[in-house]
Formats: sequence, C-alpha cells, structure tokens
Amino acid sequence: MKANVIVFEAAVFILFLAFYYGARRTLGKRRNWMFLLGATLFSLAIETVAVLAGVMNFFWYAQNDYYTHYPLGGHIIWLGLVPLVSLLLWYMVTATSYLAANALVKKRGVWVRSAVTAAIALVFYLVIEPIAVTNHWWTWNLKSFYLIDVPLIAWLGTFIAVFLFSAAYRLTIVEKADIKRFTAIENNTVKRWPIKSKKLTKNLTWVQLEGVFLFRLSACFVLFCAAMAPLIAFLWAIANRGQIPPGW
Amino acid sequence: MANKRIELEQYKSYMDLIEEEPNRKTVRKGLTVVIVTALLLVVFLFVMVVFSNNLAKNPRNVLEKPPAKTPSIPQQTGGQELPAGTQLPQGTQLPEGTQLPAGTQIPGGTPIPSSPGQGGLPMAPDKDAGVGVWDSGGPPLALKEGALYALQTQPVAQTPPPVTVPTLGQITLPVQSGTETPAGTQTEKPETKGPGQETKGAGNLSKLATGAGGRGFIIYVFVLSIVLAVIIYMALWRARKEVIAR
Repeated sequence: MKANVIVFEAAVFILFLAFYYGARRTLGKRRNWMFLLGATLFSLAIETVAVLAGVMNFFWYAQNDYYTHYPLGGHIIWLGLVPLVSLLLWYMVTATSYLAANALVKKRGVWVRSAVTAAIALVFYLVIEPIAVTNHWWTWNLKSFYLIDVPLIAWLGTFIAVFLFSAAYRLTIVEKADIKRFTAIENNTVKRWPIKSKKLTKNLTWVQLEGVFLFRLSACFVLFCAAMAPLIAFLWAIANRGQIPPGW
Repeated sequence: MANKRIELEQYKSYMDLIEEEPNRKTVRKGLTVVIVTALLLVVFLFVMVVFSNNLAKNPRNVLEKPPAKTPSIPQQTGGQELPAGTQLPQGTQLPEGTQLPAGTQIPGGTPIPSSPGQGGLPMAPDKDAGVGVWDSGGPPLALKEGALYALQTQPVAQTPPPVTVPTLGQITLPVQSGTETPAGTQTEKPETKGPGQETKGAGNLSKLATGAGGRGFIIYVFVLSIVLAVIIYMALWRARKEVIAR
C-alpha cells in the first residue's frame, strides 16, 4: 500500500460522508449546507487563484507516464483547476475546528472564537501539508520561505482564511448580525440587488441570508488576497527555495 | 409569553426550527459523529506518514518529477555499441544496429542477424552441420558431414567485423551505458543567483525525516496528532458536561 493520491482521495470521500451526516445533526440541515457551500466556494476561489498564480498545483499525477496509471490526473473529480477532494478536506477541517472552538470557548466573542477555530485548523494543516507534499497530492511552486518543504504562506494563509470564513459564518448565519462598517456597502450592493430588501440582517428570510453570506464571503476573499499579497512579497525576499515552474 | 410566541412564529416563517435548531441530544450525537470522524482522519493521516516516511527521507523527492514514460526497448537500444569484453548470455537476441566489439563472446544459440541491408536472416550455427559455418548473408546452410570441408578452414567469427543486426523484438541485455535520456527528463539548470530550487536549511523535510534515528517525521506527526486528539476530545467532553449540567 502506498500513500498515493487514490488512497487519499478514497479515504477523504468516505470520511466526508460520515462527517456530513454528523455535521448536519449538529449545525442543522440548512446551516450545514451553507457551511459546505461556503467552504467549498471560498477554498475553491483561493486555490484557483493560487494555481493560476503559480503558487501551487495539483498536477503531479497527471504528468509523464503517471497519466496512464492515474487517469484523470490522479484525482477523480475536478472543479476547474482544483480537485474536489482538496475542497472537501478544507470543509472537514474547518467545520471540525469551528465546532471544537464553539465548545471550548463558548462564552467568548466572535473574534476569539474565530481565532481559536483558525488555530485548530492550523494544527490540522501542520499535519496534512508535509504528508501532501511528500506524496505529491499537491505541489508548492512559489519562491518563498519554506518550513519542512511547505511554504510559510501556506500556513499563514490557512490561518487567515479559516479566521475570515469562520467569522463571516458566525456573524451572518448564526448571529445574523449587521457589521456597521459594511452596512452602507451592503445596502448599496447585495441588498439592492438581488435581495432587494434593506431590512436588518436578522429580519431577512433564509434565502436572503444565504445571499448576504455569499456576498460577505466574497468580501472576505478580497480581504484575504489583500492580506496575503504583502506577506508573499516579504517571504519572496527572504526565500530559502526558488521558484519551480508549475509544469517543470 | 405572548411576545415570545409571536417571535417564534415569525422565526418559524424563516426557517424550520426542528431542522435548524435541533435539540441538545441530537446536537450531542451529531457532535460525537463529527469528532469520531475527525479522529479517524487524524489516524488516517498518521498511517499515511508511516507509509511515506521513506519518501520523506529523500531530499529530492519533493521536487522530483513523475517518472518519465518508459520508452519501448527496441527504440532505445537501436544502434548502440556493447562494451568490449561483454559476455552474452545464452539465448540473447541482438537488436538492430548492435555492434559487437573485439573480445565479445557469443555462446551457441545466440541468433546473430546480418546488417539491415543484407537481408536480415538469422545466423545461428546449424546443429546438423558438421562444421562451424557462419554466413553473413546467404540462406542458412545445412551442411552434412563431409560436405564442403573447405569452409572449415575459414576463420570462424572470433573477431567478427561490426555486425549490424535487424530488430528482433526482445532483448535481455542490461543496457547501462550509452542509453539515450528520454525527452523531457533533462534536469533544470541551477539558478546562478537566488536560493535555488532545493529547500535550504531547516526548511528541508528530509532533515526532519532523517532525524531521531530516521523517525523524526513520524514523531512530529505523532505529537501533533496527540495534540489534535486532545483538543477534539476536550471539545466533546465540554459539550457533554454542558448537557449534563442542564
């Protein structure tokens, strides 16, 4: 038995089914669905940009002779440039961290909860990343500063992404809160169209709430990119590994 | 109470309370399933580390390209020269273009075809012939005892001229030297400036993997797995404790 991509993929898909069943009972049917949809779209956006920018890729098993051994590039289902398994793994890690943080720091505010969620997810990825790069589940190409062959931005990025996602989910889906700084922006954009309602967030219907959540996630994505850009530039300057062209 | 009822009625119109606000027992069971699944994920990752520990020890592994497509053997061996003094094992078939240098010993049963332009017929010595006959072009001769003794005086191919042989399909020669590198496997030129493509210093995973008697990577993941398991179990324990307290 090898730790190749097919073993990884099969295990994650099986675990996902059990996980989804449990998370649905814990979070509620539609809340869990929104968590899955949001996590999938958010991580898909981040990882697609990363692949397009040459930061990482998932194509190791699709090259040379391996393509005949691992049809479909090793991964079974792709959403564009990113395999579905990577997105489901992100959902599982984030949801586990979110539920654990909610149980551990129940009386704290949304920002502390989000920070704890991100910290737990970071510990998960401290385990996952070295195994992934060893077995070529994905490959990092960026010129950057690396720790155990994983770029530091991968871990910083995980922390920031989970923090933003968790905060957006908590504020929108669970607490149904309005964010003062974004109220004017939301009123002029998402609440004008397609929601067409300028009610407070807590008075919106569930479908409208989903729209607000997705809008806030897109705002989080912009924030994430803005936070990562200077970090990437700084780590580029102190790199201990050079750029590897994505296609070698 | 009336206000509460109105509030609940309003809330009900937005979402199904039974589905979205499950009771504590259901939540606790769901949380248990989630946490057990997460623990299984951690165990799976630990097993993956055990399997990939040897890979992690190789410093070039992370940057290694996937293996190139295995070229077909006749294309690879065509036109190559065997090193001097090579001993061919019994039953070896030589492909087209193979040149036999001086000192090559060819055992009986080795089919040695002619050069491509000379018809390509097999040249195995005829067992029925009374003399050792080697031909370079004509049809195989079946010499009976007593026939054409003059041929016996001709030198038998001890130092044959370079023989180019036609393709015969299989070859069992170990080909080490002179093998052409398949296209696409040229190593990248190292950068003259900058950090280069190999991870420097503590960033190298192989240093971790080879540390602690070759178990550094396993220990690293084991410690983190324990930390994760404790965090996750504490969450479950707190959730249960809260339910009991209520």
